[in-house]
Amino acid sequence: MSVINLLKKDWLSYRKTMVWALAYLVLFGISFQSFMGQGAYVLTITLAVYIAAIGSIQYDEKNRIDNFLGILPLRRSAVIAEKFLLADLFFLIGILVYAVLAWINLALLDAILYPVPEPLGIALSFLCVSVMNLISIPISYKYGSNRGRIMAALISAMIFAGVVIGVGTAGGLIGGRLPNSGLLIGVFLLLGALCQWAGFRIACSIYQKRDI
Amino acid sequence: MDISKEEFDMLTDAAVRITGLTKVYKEFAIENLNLSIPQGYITGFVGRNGAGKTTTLKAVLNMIQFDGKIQVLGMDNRRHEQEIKNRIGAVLSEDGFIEDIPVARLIQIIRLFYSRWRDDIFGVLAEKFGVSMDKKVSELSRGMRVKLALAVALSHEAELFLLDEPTSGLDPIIREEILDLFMELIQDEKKTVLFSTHITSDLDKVADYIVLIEQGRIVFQQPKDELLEAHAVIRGGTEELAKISREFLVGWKQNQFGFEALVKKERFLQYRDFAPERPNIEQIMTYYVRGIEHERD
Repeated sequence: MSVINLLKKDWLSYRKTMVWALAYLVLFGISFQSFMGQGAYVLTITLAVYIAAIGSIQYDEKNRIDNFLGILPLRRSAVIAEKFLLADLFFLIGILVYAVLAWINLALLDAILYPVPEPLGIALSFLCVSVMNLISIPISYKYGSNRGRIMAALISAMIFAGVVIGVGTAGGLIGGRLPNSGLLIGVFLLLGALCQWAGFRIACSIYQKRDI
Repeated sequence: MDISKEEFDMLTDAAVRITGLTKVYKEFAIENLNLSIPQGYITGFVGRNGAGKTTTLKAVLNMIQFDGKIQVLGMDNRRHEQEIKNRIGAVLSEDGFIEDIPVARLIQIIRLFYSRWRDDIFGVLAEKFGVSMDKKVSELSRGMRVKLALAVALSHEAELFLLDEPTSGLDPIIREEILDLFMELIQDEKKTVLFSTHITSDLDKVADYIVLIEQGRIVFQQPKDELLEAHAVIRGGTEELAKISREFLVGWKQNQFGFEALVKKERFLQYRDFAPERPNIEQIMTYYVRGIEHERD
């Protein structure tokens, strides 16, 4: 319940930036649609999640909200869990928004957009977002949101390069695109879940040791 | 010195029981602090800046790492943190409120977390304190923010109130109203107030117990009336000060005209020779701290 209340808190206090994150998602989706294939979807979602999740940590830091959270009936682990859940929610919202964008493109504008959401693309995006959060959320709590933001931006760039090169190479090796293999999808989702769990445990350990 | 073990053990109805609290910073340390806050009373927590008041309050709220054990309302404050905080109203020197949203939205957020939030009580208090719900938190003055924090603390049927300088920055009229509120609060004997303050005149009015902390150690913890009754302020000429053995003086100050000192009546039986006066809390605090400084020198 605390985690849900924290999500509501972020929505009530931070919703302008969340709406901006969705706007950026639309912008990236349009900008990258024509040349990146599966990579476009991955990058778009990763960037939107980055704006929402790291942005909310930055917003909390700017408001020096620790004292406020320290008084409320909350466990510190709930504060961390909410950030990961926020990222996951934005990930799901990203899929929805991207799907709407795709429909608009295809149905109304007759433009070419890489079809969304393919299961493999979703699973790969989930893994990429999870890796980004595994590293950037704990760093934000350890060293501050500015460093967390820089790490998240670097990782997003690495993800972008990695996905484009990796997917392209893997597809090339098998003579085409990567298949929507259940095994591959399962591996990506499992790895993503493990990254989220590890990131949560590390961030909790850091935040619980912090003196407010 | 801390209260004796016997006194400590006698306080079975303690809203807060701190045992062996130790917290070390680079230039300051609290070591093995024992403190018991009796339930149903107002306890004033006094001490100089940097003495350890805020650190102690934050340890009770589990906002800092510490060694030792703290029980709040009968529960370990680490294992039952969420349940305890649902029953605590706290006002700290930095409220940490989200700044760029209106007060009304801030309250929408806060009320999500308390199971016993009372909109009706908050409404009455907000009106009484003149808190504008439409203004952004960043637009409120320091005094208004304190009033807002107090209104929040008082609006969720808390049983324990931990207040760090709750009346500083407030005008005397509102301070009086807030002190009256605290007095009303403890009428049911189940609510407890612990507040740290530099405005010792507030404690003269409302406190039942006084705790003095200096350099991370509890100097005394006593019922206010007993404390005031047990001490006397004496004055005299410089030559008279020279004749009094220092062991009889809790603390003193002197200038070219004479001296003023705080004594414990039971130890210095000749206090009546010096036109004694009943001290106030500020004098007791000041002279105890001076006494510690003299000992150190």
